[in-house]
Amino acid sequence: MHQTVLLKIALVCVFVGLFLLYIFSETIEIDDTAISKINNAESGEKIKIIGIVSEVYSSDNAVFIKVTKAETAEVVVFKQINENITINYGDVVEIIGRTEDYNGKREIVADRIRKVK
Amino acid sequence: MFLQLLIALLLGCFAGIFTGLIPGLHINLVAVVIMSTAASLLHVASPLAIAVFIIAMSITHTFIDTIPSIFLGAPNEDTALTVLPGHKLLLKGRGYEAVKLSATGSLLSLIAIATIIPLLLKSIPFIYEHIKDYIGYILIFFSGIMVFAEKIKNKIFWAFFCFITSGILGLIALTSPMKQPLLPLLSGLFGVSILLFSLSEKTRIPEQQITEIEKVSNKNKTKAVSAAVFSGSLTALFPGLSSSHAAVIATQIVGDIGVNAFLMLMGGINTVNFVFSLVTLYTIDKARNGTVVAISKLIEAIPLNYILIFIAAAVAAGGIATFLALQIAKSFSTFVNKINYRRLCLLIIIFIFIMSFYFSSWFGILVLIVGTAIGLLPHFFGFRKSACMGCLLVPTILFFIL
Repeated sequence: MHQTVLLKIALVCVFVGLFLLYIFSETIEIDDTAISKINNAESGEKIKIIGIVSEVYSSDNAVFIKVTKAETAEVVVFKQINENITINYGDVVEIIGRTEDYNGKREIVADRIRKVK
Repeated sequence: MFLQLLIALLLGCFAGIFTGLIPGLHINLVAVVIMSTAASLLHVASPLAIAVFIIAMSITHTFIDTIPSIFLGAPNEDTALTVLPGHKLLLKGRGYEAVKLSATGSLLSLIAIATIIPLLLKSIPFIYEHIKDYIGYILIFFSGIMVFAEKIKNKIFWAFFCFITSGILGLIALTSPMKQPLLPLLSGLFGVSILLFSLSEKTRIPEQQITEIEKVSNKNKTKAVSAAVFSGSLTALFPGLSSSHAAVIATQIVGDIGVNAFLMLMGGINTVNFVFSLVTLYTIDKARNGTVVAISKLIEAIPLNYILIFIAAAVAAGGIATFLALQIAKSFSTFVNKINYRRLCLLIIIFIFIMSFYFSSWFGILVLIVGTAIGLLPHFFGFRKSACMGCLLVPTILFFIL
Protein backbone atom coordinates (compact mmCIF):
# COMPACT_ATOMS: atom_id res chain seq x y z
CA MET A 1 0.00 0.00 0.00
CA HIS A 2 1.28 3.42 -0.92
CA GLN A 3 2.30 5.45 2.12
CA THR A 4 0.01 8.39 1.28
CA VAL A 5 -2.99 6.03 1.04
CA LEU A 6 -2.06 4.48 4.39
CA LEU A 7 -1.78 7.91 6.01
CA LYS A 8 -5.12 8.99 4.51
CA ILE A 9 -6.80 5.90 5.98
CA ALA A 10 -5.10 6.65 9.32
CA LEU A 11 -6.39 10.24 9.21
CA VAL A 12 -9.95 9.06 8.48
CA CYS A 13 -9.65 6.67 11.46
CA VAL A 14 -8.60 9.55 13.73
CA PHE A 15 -11.58 11.71 12.68
CA VAL A 16 -14.15 8.89 12.70
CA GLY A 17 -12.83 7.64 16.05
CA LEU A 18 -12.98 11.09 17.63
CA PHE A 19 -16.45 11.76 16.19
CA LEU A 20 -17.77 8.48 17.60
CA LEU A 21 -16.02 9.17 20.89
CA TYR A 22 -17.85 12.50 21.09
CA ILE A 23 -21.23 10.94 20.18
CA PHE A 24 -20.91 8.05 22.65
CA SER A 25 -19.51 10.24 25.44
CA GLU A 26 -22.76 12.26 25.24
CA THR A 27 -24.73 9.11 26.05
CA ILE A 28 -23.02 8.57 29.39
CA GLU A 29 -25.58 8.63 32.16
CA ILE A 30 -24.50 9.57 35.62
CA ASP A 31 -26.11 7.39 38.29
CA ASP A 32 -28.67 8.89 40.63
CA THR A 33 -26.71 9.64 43.81
CA ALA A 34 -27.98 9.11 47.34
CA ILE A 35 -27.89 12.39 49.31
CA SER A 36 -25.94 10.77 52.13
CA LYS A 37 -23.21 9.97 49.58
CA ILE A 38 -23.03 13.64 48.54
CA ASN A 39 -21.76 14.64 51.96
CA ASN A 40 -18.98 12.05 51.76
CA ALA A 41 -18.06 12.77 48.13
CA GLU A 42 -14.94 14.67 47.08
CA SER A 43 -15.63 18.36 46.49
CA GLY A 44 -16.06 18.90 42.75
CA GLU A 45 -17.27 15.35 42.09
CA LYS A 46 -19.93 15.07 39.38
CA ILE A 47 -23.29 13.79 40.67
CA LYS A 48 -26.94 13.40 39.62
CA ILE A 49 -29.94 13.49 41.94
CA ILE A 50 -33.65 13.16 41.32
CA GLY A 51 -35.96 14.42 44.08
CA ILE A 52 -38.87 16.64 45.10
CA VAL A 53 -38.37 20.39 45.51
CA SER A 54 -39.23 21.12 49.14
CA GLU A 55 -38.08 24.78 49.37
CA VAL A 56 -37.40 27.52 46.81
CA TYR A 57 -35.64 30.86 47.45
CA SER A 58 -34.67 33.17 44.58
CA SER A 59 -31.99 35.91 44.58
CA ASP A 60 -30.80 38.16 41.71
CA ASN A 61 -28.29 35.67 40.35
CA ALA A 62 -29.40 32.27 41.54
CA VAL A 63 -32.24 30.12 42.72
CA PHE A 64 -31.63 28.18 45.96
CA ILE A 65 -33.70 25.04 46.31
CA LYS A 66 -33.96 22.16 48.69
CA VAL A 67 -34.39 18.79 47.01
CA THR A 68 -35.75 15.99 49.11
CA LYS A 69 -35.38 12.27 48.54
CA ALA A 70 -35.20 10.36 51.78
CA GLU A 71 -32.91 13.21 52.91
CA THR A 72 -32.53 16.84 51.82
CA ALA A 73 -29.78 18.40 49.70
CA GLU A 74 -29.05 22.10 49.18
CA VAL A 75 -28.84 22.99 45.48
CA VAL A 76 -27.76 26.27 43.84
CA VAL A 77 -29.04 26.85 40.31
CA PHE A 78 -27.34 29.81 38.62
CA LYS A 79 -29.79 31.69 36.46
CA GLN A 80 -27.42 32.53 33.60
CA ILE A 81 -26.74 28.81 33.04
CA ASN A 82 -30.34 27.61 33.47
CA GLU A 83 -32.35 30.57 32.09
CA ASN A 84 -35.55 28.92 30.95
CA ILE A 85 -36.61 26.94 33.97
CA THR A 86 -39.15 27.83 36.63
CA ILE A 87 -38.90 25.77 39.75
CA ASN A 88 -41.82 25.39 42.12
CA TYR A 89 -42.42 23.64 45.38
CA GLY A 90 -43.43 20.02 44.73
CA ASP A 91 -41.71 19.70 41.36
CA VAL A 92 -39.75 16.49 40.83
CA VAL A 93 -36.43 17.55 39.35
CA GLU A 94 -33.32 15.87 37.98
CA ILE A 95 -30.13 17.73 38.74
CA ILE A 96 -26.68 17.12 37.32
CA GLY A 97 -24.00 19.14 39.04
CA ARG A 98 -20.98 19.20 41.27
CA THR A 99 -20.60 19.09 45.01
CA GLU A 100 -19.12 22.22 46.56
CA ASP A 101 -18.49 23.49 50.07
CA TYR A 102 -19.87 26.96 50.85
CA ASN A 103 -19.67 28.50 54.34
CA GLY A 104 -18.78 25.09 55.71
CA LYS A 105 -21.88 23.50 54.22
CA ARG A 106 -21.98 20.88 51.48
CA GLU A 107 -24.17 21.95 48.54
CA ILE A 108 -24.68 21.05 44.90
CA VAL A 109 -24.04 23.60 42.17
CA ALA A 110 -26.30 22.58 39.28
CA ASP A 111 -24.83 22.36 35.79
CA ARG A 112 -28.17 21.18 34.40
CA ILE A 113 -31.65 20.93 35.89
CA ARG A 114 -34.83 19.55 34.33
CA LYS A 115 -38.29 18.72 35.57
CA VAL A 116 -39.02 15.01 35.60
CA LYS A 117 -42.76 15.54 36.43
CA MET B 1 -16.64 14.53 29.48
CA PHE B 2 -15.47 14.47 25.83
CA LEU B 3 -12.59 16.83 26.59
CA GLN B 4 -11.42 14.62 29.44
CA LEU B 5 -11.58 11.56 27.19
CA LEU B 6 -9.72 13.38 24.41
CA ILE B 7 -6.89 14.37 26.77
CA ALA B 8 -6.76 10.79 28.09
CA LEU B 9 -6.57 9.49 24.50
CA LEU B 10 -3.68 11.78 23.54
CA LEU B 11 -1.76 11.07 26.75
CA GLY B 12 -2.31 7.34 26.20
CA CYS B 13 -0.87 7.53 22.67
CA PHE B 14 2.12 9.45 24.04
CA ALA B 15 2.70 6.85 26.78
CA GLY B 16 2.34 4.03 24.23
CA ILE B 17 5.38 5.37 22.33
CA PHE B 18 7.62 4.81 25.36
CA THR B 19 6.19 1.44 26.38
CA GLY B 20 6.36 0.23 22.78
CA LEU B 21 9.95 1.34 22.26
CA ILE B 22 11.41 -0.29 25.36
CA PRO B 23 12.93 -3.56 24.06
CA GLY B 24 11.21 -6.67 25.31
CA LEU B 25 8.65 -4.82 27.43
CA HIS B 26 5.24 -6.51 27.29
CA ILE B 27 2.12 -4.39 27.74
CA ASN B 28 1.03 -6.69 30.59
CA LEU B 29 3.95 -5.39 32.62
CA VAL B 30 2.73 -1.84 32.00
CA ALA B 31 -0.72 -2.94 33.14
CA VAL B 32 0.74 -4.06 36.47
CA VAL B 33 2.23 -0.57 36.97
CA ILE B 34 -1.07 1.11 36.05
CA MET B 35 -3.05 -1.06 38.46
CA SER B 36 -0.66 -0.20 41.28
CA THR B 37 -1.05 3.54 40.59
CA ALA B 38 -4.80 3.47 39.79
CA ALA B 39 -5.82 4.69 43.25
CA SER B 40 -3.85 7.93 42.87
CA LEU B 41 -4.90 8.36 39.22
CA LEU B 42 -8.57 8.30 40.30
CA HIS B 43 -8.00 11.60 42.15
CA VAL B 44 -7.31 13.39 38.87
CA ALA B 45 -9.47 11.51 36.34
CA SER B 46 -12.63 9.43 36.12
CA PRO B 47 -12.36 5.62 35.76
CA LEU B 48 -13.66 5.97 32.19
CA ALA B 49 -10.92 8.47 31.28
CA ILE B 50 -8.25 6.18 32.80
CA ALA B 51 -9.70 3.28 30.80
CA VAL B 52 -9.47 5.36 27.59
CA PHE B 53 -5.86 6.22 28.51
CA ILE B 54 -5.05 2.51 28.91
CA ILE B 55 -6.74 1.64 25.60
CA ALA B 56 -4.92 4.38 23.66
CA MET B 57 -1.62 3.33 25.23
CA SER B 58 -2.17 -0.36 24.49
CA ILE B 59 -3.20 0.23 20.87
CA THR B 60 -0.22 2.56 20.28
CA HIS B 61 2.00 -0.04 21.96
CA THR B 62 0.86 -2.74 19.47
CA PHE B 63 1.84 -0.45 16.58
CA ILE B 64 5.18 0.67 18.02
CA ASP B 65 6.52 -2.52 19.63
CA THR B 66 7.47 -3.96 16.24
CA ILE B 67 10.15 -1.25 15.92
CA PRO B 68 12.55 -2.63 18.60
CA SER B 69 11.70 -6.17 17.39
CA ILE B 70 12.70 -5.37 13.81
CA PHE B 71 15.53 -2.88 14.32
CA LEU B 72 17.05 -4.30 17.49
CA GLY B 73 15.92 -7.95 17.36
CA ALA B 74 14.47 -7.62 20.87
CA PRO B 75 10.94 -9.06 20.93
CA ASN B 76 8.24 -9.51 23.51
CA GLU B 77 5.68 -12.32 23.70
CA ASP B 78 3.51 -10.75 20.98
CA THR B 79 6.24 -9.83 18.52
CA ALA B 80 8.39 -12.95 18.88
CA LEU B 81 7.64 -14.24 15.38
CA THR B 82 7.98 -10.78 13.84
CA VAL B 83 11.69 -10.77 14.62
CA LEU B 84 12.89 -13.20 11.95
CA PRO B 85 11.02 -11.86 8.87
CA GLY B 86 11.47 -8.28 10.11
CA HIS B 87 15.17 -8.89 10.60
CA LYS B 88 15.45 -10.33 7.07
CA LEU B 89 14.01 -7.11 5.64
CA LEU B 90 16.28 -5.03 7.90
CA LEU B 91 19.32 -6.84 6.50
CA LYS B 92 18.09 -5.97 2.99
CA GLY B 93 17.91 -2.29 3.98
CA ARG B 94 14.10 -2.44 4.29
CA GLY B 95 13.57 -2.11 8.02
CA TYR B 96 11.27 0.88 7.55
CA GLU B 97 9.17 -1.10 5.10
CA ALA B 98 8.86 -3.92 7.63
CA VAL B 99 7.45 -1.49 10.20
CA LYS B 100 5.17 0.03 7.56
CA LEU B 101 3.84 -3.42 6.64
CA SER B 102 3.17 -4.22 10.28
CA ALA B 103 1.44 -0.86 10.84
CA THR B 104 -0.65 -1.39 7.69
CA GLY B 105 -1.74 -4.80 8.95
CA SER B 106 -2.56 -3.36 12.37
CA LEU B 107 -4.61 -0.48 11.00
CA LEU B 108 -6.55 -2.50 8.41
CA SER B 109 -7.27 -5.25 10.92
CA LEU B 110 -8.37 -2.66 13.47
CA ILE B 111 -10.87 -1.25 10.97
CA ALA B 112 -12.06 -4.77 10.11
CA ILE B 113 -12.59 -5.84 13.73
CA ALA B 114 -14.28 -2.54 14.64
CA THR B 115 -16.69 -3.03 11.73
CA ILE B 116 -17.81 -6.49 12.88
CA ILE B 117 -18.19 -5.56 16.56
CA PRO B 118 -22.06 -5.73 16.48
CA LEU B 119 -21.83 -9.29 15.14
CA LEU B 120 -19.24 -10.24 17.79
CA LEU B 121 -21.36 -8.86 20.63
CA LYS B 122 -24.11 -11.29 19.64
CA SER B 123 -22.04 -14.35 18.72
CA ILE B 124 -19.26 -14.52 21.34
CA PRO B 125 -21.41 -15.68 24.31
CA PHE B 126 -22.92 -18.42 22.11
CA ILE B 127 -19.51 -19.62 20.83
CA TYR B 128 -17.86 -19.52 24.25
CA GLU B 129 -20.66 -21.48 25.86
CA HIS B 130 -20.03 -24.33 23.42
CA ILE B 131 -16.22 -24.47 23.62
CA LYS B 132 -15.37 -23.64 27.22
CA ASP B 133 -15.27 -27.28 28.36
CA TYR B 134 -12.88 -28.30 25.58
CA ILE B 135 -10.28 -25.51 25.75
CA GLY B 136 -7.39 -27.81 26.83
CA TYR B 137 -8.06 -30.26 23.96
CA ILE B 138 -8.42 -27.46 21.42
CA LEU B 139 -5.03 -26.13 22.54
CA ILE B 140 -3.50 -29.62 22.02
CA PHE B 141 -4.99 -29.59 18.52
CA PHE B 142 -3.47 -26.17 17.79
CA SER B 143 -0.09 -27.36 19.15
CA GLY B 144 -0.27 -30.37 16.84
CA ILE B 145 -0.92 -28.06 13.89
CA MET B 146 2.14 -26.05 14.90
CA VAL B 147 4.49 -29.06 15.07
CA PHE B 148 3.17 -30.88 12.02
CA ALA B 149 3.29 -27.70 9.96
CA GLU B 150 6.85 -28.89 9.25
CA LYS B 151 6.86 -31.12 6.20
CA ILE B 152 10.06 -33.17 6.74
CA LYS B 153 10.26 -35.94 9.38
CA ASN B 154 13.57 -34.71 10.79
CA LYS B 155 12.16 -31.19 11.24
CA ILE B 156 8.95 -32.54 12.81
CA PHE B 157 11.09 -34.43 15.35
CA TRP B 158 13.15 -31.36 16.26
CA ALA B 159 10.09 -29.10 16.34
CA PHE B 160 8.41 -31.54 18.75
CA PHE B 161 11.58 -31.77 20.85
CA CYS B 162 11.82 -27.96 20.96
CA PHE B 163 8.10 -27.66 21.83
CA ILE B 164 8.42 -30.10 24.74
CA THR B 165 11.73 -28.75 26.11
CA SER B 166 10.53 -25.13 25.91
CA GLY B 167 7.30 -26.33 27.55
CA ILE B 168 9.22 -27.88 30.45
CA LEU B 169 11.28 -24.71 30.80
CA GLY B 170 8.08 -22.62 30.74
CA LEU B 171 6.51 -24.85 33.36
CA ILE B 172 9.54 -24.49 35.65
CA ALA B 173 9.78 -20.72 35.14
CA LEU B 174 6.06 -19.98 35.52
CA THR B 175 5.61 -22.10 38.62
CA SER B 176 8.76 -20.80 40.33
CA PRO B 177 8.62 -17.92 42.84
CA MET B 178 10.68 -15.84 40.37
CA LYS B 179 9.39 -12.31 39.61
CA GLN B 180 8.57 -11.45 35.97
CA PRO B 181 9.31 -14.99 34.65
CA LEU B 182 8.24 -14.09 31.10
CA LEU B 183 11.09 -11.63 30.65
CA PRO B 184 14.02 -14.12 30.82
CA LEU B 185 11.93 -16.94 29.33
CA LEU B 186 10.89 -15.12 26.15
CA SER B 187 14.06 -13.08 25.85
CA GLY B 188 16.08 -16.30 25.86
CA LEU B 189 13.90 -18.25 23.46
CA PHE B 190 13.29 -15.41 21.02
CA GLY B 191 15.66 -12.50 21.71
CA VAL B 192 19.16 -13.56 22.73
CA SER B 193 19.08 -16.69 20.51
CA ILE B 194 18.38 -14.59 17.38
CA LEU B 195 20.98 -12.00 18.35
CA LEU B 196 23.63 -14.71 18.97
CA PHE B 197 22.82 -16.31 15.65
CA SER B 198 23.15 -12.91 13.94
CA LEU B 199 26.54 -12.44 15.63
CA SER B 200 27.75 -15.81 14.35
CA GLU B 201 26.77 -14.79 10.81
CA LYS B 202 28.87 -11.59 11.02
CA THR B 203 25.87 -9.52 10.00
CA ARG B 204 26.24 -5.89 9.01
CA ILE B 205 23.14 -3.69 8.79
CA PRO B 206 23.11 -2.07 5.36
CA GLU B 207 22.01 1.50 4.71
CA GLN B 208 18.26 1.65 5.24
CA GLN B 209 15.97 2.92 2.52
CA ILE B 210 12.67 4.71 3.07
CA THR B 211 10.97 2.72 0.34
CA GLU B 212 7.54 2.90 -1.24
CA ILE B 213 7.99 -0.49 -2.89
CA GLU B 214 5.83 -3.12 -1.31
CA LYS B 215 5.33 -6.48 -2.93
CA VAL B 216 2.01 -7.58 -1.43
CA SER B 217 -0.80 -8.43 -3.82
CA ASN B 218 -4.35 -7.35 -2.93
CA LYS B 219 -5.22 -11.05 -2.59
CA ASN B 220 -2.49 -11.60 0.01
CA LYS B 221 -3.42 -8.36 1.81
CA THR B 222 -7.02 -9.56 2.10
CA LYS B 223 -5.81 -12.98 3.27
CA ALA B 224 -3.48 -11.39 5.84
CA VAL B 225 -6.14 -9.08 7.29
CA SER B 226 -8.94 -11.67 7.39
CA ALA B 227 -6.59 -14.26 8.91
CA ALA B 228 -5.42 -11.67 11.46
CA VAL B 229 -9.03 -10.97 12.47
CA PHE B 230 -9.86 -14.68 12.73
CA SER B 231 -6.74 -15.88 14.51
CA GLY B 232 -6.38 -12.73 16.63
CA SER B 233 -9.92 -13.43 17.85
CA LEU B 234 -8.90 -16.98 18.82
CA THR B 235 -6.14 -15.63 21.07
CA ALA B 236 -8.71 -13.57 22.93
CA LEU B 237 -11.07 -16.54 23.26
CA PHE B 238 -8.49 -19.12 24.40
CA PRO B 239 -6.25 -18.48 27.39
CA GLY B 240 -2.58 -19.26 26.77
CA LEU B 241 -2.78 -18.74 23.03
CA SER B 242 -0.39 -15.95 22.08
CA SER B 243 -0.06 -13.88 18.94
CA SER B 244 2.63 -16.29 17.77
CA HIS B 245 0.21 -19.25 17.97
CA ALA B 246 -2.34 -17.19 16.12
CA ALA B 247 0.22 -16.54 13.38
CA VAL B 248 0.93 -20.27 13.02
CA ILE B 249 -2.78 -21.09 12.88
CA ALA B 250 -3.34 -18.27 10.41
CA THR B 251 -0.54 -19.40 8.10
CA GLN B 252 -1.97 -22.93 8.14
CA ILE B 253 -5.27 -21.47 6.93
CA VAL B 254 -4.00 -19.02 4.32
CA GLY B 255 -0.86 -20.93 3.26
CA ASP B 256 2.38 -19.25 2.22
CA ILE B 257 1.60 -15.56 1.82
CA GLY B 258 5.21 -14.35 1.75
CA VAL B 259 7.30 -12.39 4.25
CA ASN B 260 5.62 -9.03 3.56
CA ALA B 261 2.05 -10.24 4.06
CA PHE B 262 3.22 -12.25 7.09
CA LEU B 263 4.41 -9.00 8.71
CA MET B 264 0.99 -7.47 8.00
CA LEU B 265 -0.61 -10.53 9.54
CA MET B 266 1.52 -10.30 12.70
CA GLY B 267 0.82 -6.59 13.12
CA GLY B 268 -2.91 -7.23 12.69
CA ILE B 269 -3.06 -10.13 15.15
CA ASN B 270 -1.66 -8.08 18.04
CA THR B 271 -4.14 -5.24 17.49
CA VAL B 272 -7.13 -7.55 16.96
CA ASN B 273 -6.21 -9.48 20.10
CA PHE B 274 -6.50 -6.31 22.18
CA VAL B 275 -9.79 -5.07 20.68
CA PHE B 276 -11.31 -8.55 20.84
CA SER B 277 -10.32 -8.78 24.52
CA LEU B 278 -12.49 -5.71 25.18
CA VAL B 279 -15.42 -7.52 23.54
CA THR B 280 -14.88 -10.71 25.56
CA LEU B 281 -14.74 -8.61 28.72
CA TYR B 282 -18.21 -7.22 27.94
CA THR B 283 -19.79 -10.40 26.55
CA ILE B 284 -18.37 -13.28 28.63
CA ASP B 285 -16.70 -11.34 31.45
CA LYS B 286 -13.25 -12.71 30.54
CA ALA B 287 -10.24 -10.41 30.34
CA ARG B 288 -7.58 -12.16 28.23
CA ASN B 289 -5.09 -9.33 28.30
CA GLY B 290 -3.30 -7.62 31.19
CA THR B 291 -4.44 -4.12 30.31
CA VAL B 292 -8.04 -5.29 29.87
CA VAL B 293 -7.79 -6.82 33.36
CA ALA B 294 -6.73 -3.35 34.59
CA ILE B 295 -9.82 -1.83 32.92
CA SER B 296 -12.09 -4.47 34.47
CA LYS B 297 -10.70 -3.57 37.92
CA LEU B 298 -11.39 0.12 37.31
CA ILE B 299 -14.95 -0.31 36.05
CA GLU B 300 -16.76 -3.26 37.56
CA ALA B 301 -19.91 -3.45 35.42
CA ILE B 302 -19.16 -2.16 31.94
CA PRO B 303 -22.24 -0.93 30.06
CA LEU B 304 -22.58 -1.13 26.28
CA ASN B 305 -21.95 2.58 25.68
CA TYR B 306 -18.62 2.29 27.51
CA ILE B 307 -17.58 -0.54 25.16
CA LEU B 308 -18.54 1.66 22.20
CA ILE B 309 -16.44 4.48 23.67
CA PHE B 310 -13.52 2.04 24.04
CA ILE B 311 -13.79 0.92 20.41
CA ALA B 312 -14.02 4.54 19.20
CA ALA B 313 -10.94 5.40 21.26
CA ALA B 314 -9.12 2.37 19.84
CA VAL B 315 -9.90 3.41 16.25
CA ALA B 316 -8.72 7.01 16.86
CA ALA B 317 -5.59 5.78 18.67
CA GLY B 318 -4.89 3.37 15.78
CA GLY B 319 -4.92 6.26 13.33
CA ILE B 320 -2.58 8.34 15.50
CA ALA B 321 -0.31 5.33 16.14
CA THR B 322 0.12 4.75 12.38
CA PHE B 323 1.60 8.25 11.99
CA LEU B 324 3.79 7.72 15.05
CA ALA B 325 5.06 4.29 13.96
CA LEU B 326 6.10 5.56 10.50
CA GLN B 327 7.84 8.65 11.91
CA ILE B 328 9.73 6.71 14.57
CA ALA B 329 10.72 3.99 12.07
CA LYS B 330 12.11 6.73 9.78
CA SER B 331 14.26 8.03 12.64
CA PHE B 332 15.48 4.51 13.44
CA SER B 333 16.30 3.92 9.76
CA THR B 334 18.57 6.95 9.60
CA PHE B 335 20.85 5.92 12.46
CA VAL B 336 20.64 2.13 12.69
CA ASN B 337 23.21 1.52 9.91
CA LYS B 338 25.63 4.02 11.41
CA ILE B 339 26.15 1.90 14.47
CA ASN B 340 28.27 -1.19 14.78
CA TYR B 341 25.79 -4.07 14.54
CA ARG B 342 27.95 -6.55 16.47
CA ARG B 343 28.40 -4.01 19.23
CA LEU B 344 24.66 -3.25 19.19
CA CYS B 345 23.79 -6.97 19.45
CA LEU B 346 26.23 -7.41 22.32
CA LEU B 347 24.85 -4.32 24.09
CA ILE B 348 21.27 -5.60 23.73
CA ILE B 349 22.31 -9.04 25.00
CA ILE B 350 24.01 -7.40 28.01
CA PHE B 351 20.92 -5.19 28.52
CA ILE B 352 18.64 -8.27 28.46
CA PHE B 353 20.92 -10.04 30.97
CA ILE B 354 20.90 -6.99 33.29
CA MET B 355 17.11 -6.64 33.03
CA SER B 356 16.64 -10.38 33.69
CA PHE B 357 18.93 -10.22 36.72
CA TYR B 358 17.22 -7.04 38.00
CA PHE B 359 13.71 -8.46 37.72
CA SER B 360 14.26 -12.20 38.15
CA SER B 361 17.63 -12.59 39.92
CA TRP B 362 20.01 -15.55 39.36
CA PHE B 363 17.21 -17.98 38.56
CA GLY B 364 16.15 -15.60 35.78
CA ILE B 365 19.69 -15.73 34.36
CA LEU B 366 19.56 -19.54 34.40
CA VAL B 367 16.19 -19.52 32.58
CA LEU B 368 17.61 -17.00 30.10
CA ILE B 369 20.62 -19.21 29.30
CA VAL B 370 18.59 -22.43 28.94
CA GLY B 371 15.97 -20.53 26.89
CA THR B 372 18.71 -19.22 24.60
CA ALA B 373 20.05 -22.75 24.07
CA ILE B 374 16.57 -24.05 23.15
CA GLY B 375 15.92 -20.95 21.04
CA LEU B 376 19.00 -21.69 18.92
CA LEU B 377 17.60 -25.11 17.83
CA PRO B 378 15.27 -23.71 15.09
CA HIS B 379 18.24 -21.82 13.60
CA PHE B 380 20.42 -24.95 13.48
CA PHE B 381 17.78 -27.42 12.29
CA GLY B 382 15.71 -25.09 10.10
CA PHE B 383 12.23 -25.52 11.62
CA ARG B 384 9.79 -22.78 12.64
CA LYS B 385 10.63 -20.70 15.66
CA SER B 386 6.99 -20.90 16.80
CA ALA B 387 7.76 -24.36 18.28
CA CYS B 388 9.40 -22.44 21.14
CA MET B 389 5.93 -21.17 22.10
CA GLY B 390 5.55 -24.51 23.88
CA CYS B 391 6.87 -22.49 26.83
CA LEU B 392 3.39 -20.98 27.24
CA LEU B 393 1.22 -23.63 25.59
CA VAL B 394 2.37 -26.65 27.64
CA PRO B 395 1.67 -24.99 31.04
CA THR B 396 -1.74 -23.75 29.79
CA ILE B 397 -2.74 -27.18 28.43
CA LEU B 398 -1.74 -28.85 31.69
CA PHE B 399 -3.73 -26.27 33.65
CA PHE B 400 -6.90 -27.08 31.72
CA ILE B 401 -6.51 -30.85 31.50
CA LEU B 402 -5.18 -31.78 34.93
